[in-house]
Amino acid sequence: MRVHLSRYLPFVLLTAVMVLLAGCSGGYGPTLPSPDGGEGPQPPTTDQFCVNVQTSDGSPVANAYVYIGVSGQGELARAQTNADGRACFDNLETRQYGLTTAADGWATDHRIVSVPAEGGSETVVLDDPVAESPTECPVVTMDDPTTDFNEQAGTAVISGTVQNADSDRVIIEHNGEPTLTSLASDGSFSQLFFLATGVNTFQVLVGNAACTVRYPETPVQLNWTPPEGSDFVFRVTLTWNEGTSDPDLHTWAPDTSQHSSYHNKAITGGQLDRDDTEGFGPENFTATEVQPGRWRIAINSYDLDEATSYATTVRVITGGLAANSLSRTYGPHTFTTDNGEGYPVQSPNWWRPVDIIVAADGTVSVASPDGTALPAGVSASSVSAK
Amino acid sequence: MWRTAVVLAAVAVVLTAGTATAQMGTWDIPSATTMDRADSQVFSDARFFEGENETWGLFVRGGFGDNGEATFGYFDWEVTGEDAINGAVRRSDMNAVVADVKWLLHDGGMRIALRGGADLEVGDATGTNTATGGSAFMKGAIPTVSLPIEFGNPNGILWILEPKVVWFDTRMPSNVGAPVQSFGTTVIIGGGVRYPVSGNLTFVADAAYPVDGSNSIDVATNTVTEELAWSAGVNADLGSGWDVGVFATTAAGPTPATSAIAAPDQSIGLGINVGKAW
Repeated sequence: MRVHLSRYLPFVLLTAVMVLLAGCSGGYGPTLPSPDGGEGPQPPTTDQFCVNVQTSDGSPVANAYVYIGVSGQGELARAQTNADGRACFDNLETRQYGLTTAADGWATDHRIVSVPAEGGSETVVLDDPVAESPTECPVVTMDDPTTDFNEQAGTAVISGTVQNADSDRVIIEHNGEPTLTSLASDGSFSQLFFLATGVNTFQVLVGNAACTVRYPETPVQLNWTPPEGSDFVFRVTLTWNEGTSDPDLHTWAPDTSQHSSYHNKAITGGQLDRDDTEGFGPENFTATEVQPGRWRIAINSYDLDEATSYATTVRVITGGLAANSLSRTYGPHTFTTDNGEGYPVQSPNWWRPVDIIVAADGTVSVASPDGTALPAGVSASSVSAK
Repeated sequence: MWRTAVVLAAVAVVLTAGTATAQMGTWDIPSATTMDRADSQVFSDARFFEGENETWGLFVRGGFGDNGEATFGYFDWEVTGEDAINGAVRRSDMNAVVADVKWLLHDGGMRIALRGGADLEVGDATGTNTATGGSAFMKGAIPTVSLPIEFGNPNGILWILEPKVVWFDTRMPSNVGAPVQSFGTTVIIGGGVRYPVSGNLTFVADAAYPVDGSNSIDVATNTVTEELAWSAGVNADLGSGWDVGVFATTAAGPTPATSAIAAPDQSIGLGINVGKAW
């Protein structure tokens, strides 16, 4: 057979190029739809993030140890401040971290820092002197998280104790995300968390002048699967971090004429489950029918009580009556004032975390709050009846 | 990969020599021409993606009556993406028995056929978020109806158009409570070409795009979206009824339903097609 090379060469070359492309392409492969809930896109890393440590009079603190939680697998990055009180870390991902800063003679500082893409710095002021710094590392114990596990709401309380602490704070990492939590005078801590679908990991990060530890080395795991037959459209859940404070979850139906709150729990299409005045929540508003339109959510700081501030967190999830799967968490939002449900709905005594849009086909989406004025509703006169 | 090798080896061992029958379709679009009553073909199709991921199928087809052709086969899809989709790697599993029937409606200068069939799932077709363990399930059968339209020269450049409707589930139940949006009823417009470049070598290419419904996954949001599903490569007639094709592809498989599904973000795989006709 006589071969006309010039005739089929372009096609052979084209095929060769495509086969090469096949060998060099990305690795998704054909994919069927699957549930959401991944960890999201991996953030970029920043070149350098520095911590400046000083005393309240502005004097730099040299030889202080700064720890930052760079991994959920027990790894902690450590740096020691130089004569200028400065310690730096390289190649951090741009996200939030738990940070401890320890120096002899001072209470160890615990805080959450956000590392921006452009790098940057954080100033830590050590302003709480201690008479005698611990010489041994903190010793942490954690209670079994399943003992206070609310499977219906998807929440769990992480609690335990810390010995040899020299401050009143610990950091609890939930799936690598840090939360600052109070440490009581007896060394105990307790914090309620929203659970993500699937595996949830928890570790405690706590430091003193001797060292900073992350406990346990292998994170405590708690699996949560939303209850079968979750026959609702969406659920809004409110929690907070001070047991004595009393925030309230308020929900307005799309035409705003109906308003669900502690004094009028049930409205057309949904219901608030309870008014928690002496705990960390949760309070849940559950939409049980597809009522198309824009639902509006607001949190009122009803009572600070013994606290000077507290932080609230809101989660929105969809249920089996929704046409799509969605899970979003908002906050923490810190309240430093209260007003016993005074109107209008506006800062600083109110927080509007999100509006929820329900389409006629049951599709649920979220949006930034709009400027619509939210009325008190029919039971406004009973707001002081708590 | 080893299963594909076994399948290809089985094809080679089982088949005996016979007379060649023209195979006129493309990688993902069938010919409007039906096989003669006495003719039949066995063929296998394997598609390899990054990370030793693959889909493969083994099929047999033959003519019946004056204008009919039937295809039966088995298809296996087991892919765990190398890259993350919305932050999590996704695994897709599907085993299906495939059956479709084609009937030639018109045979003039242009040939028009009606093709109907279904991918009948053995167990559930499952999409799994490996980061959370959450899975969504596509149950039962995926029916399809299409209208292959063929024109041109069967011995020269041959063009094929195929409007197709695929009834994917609209919502897939999941083990994490809320159902997951699926592709839904998808209307696909496909087109292909066969271009003989020598006596035994043919350039074969096709592409399909959904004009309604969806056929892929958005890598940024993990929601359903629309992508071009395409395949292109060369097919060699080895004589004695054997033919072998090598092609690049973004389509999940050659079956009526899986040929409509495109890999996310135009992720390309390598396809191999081996057939024996007699």
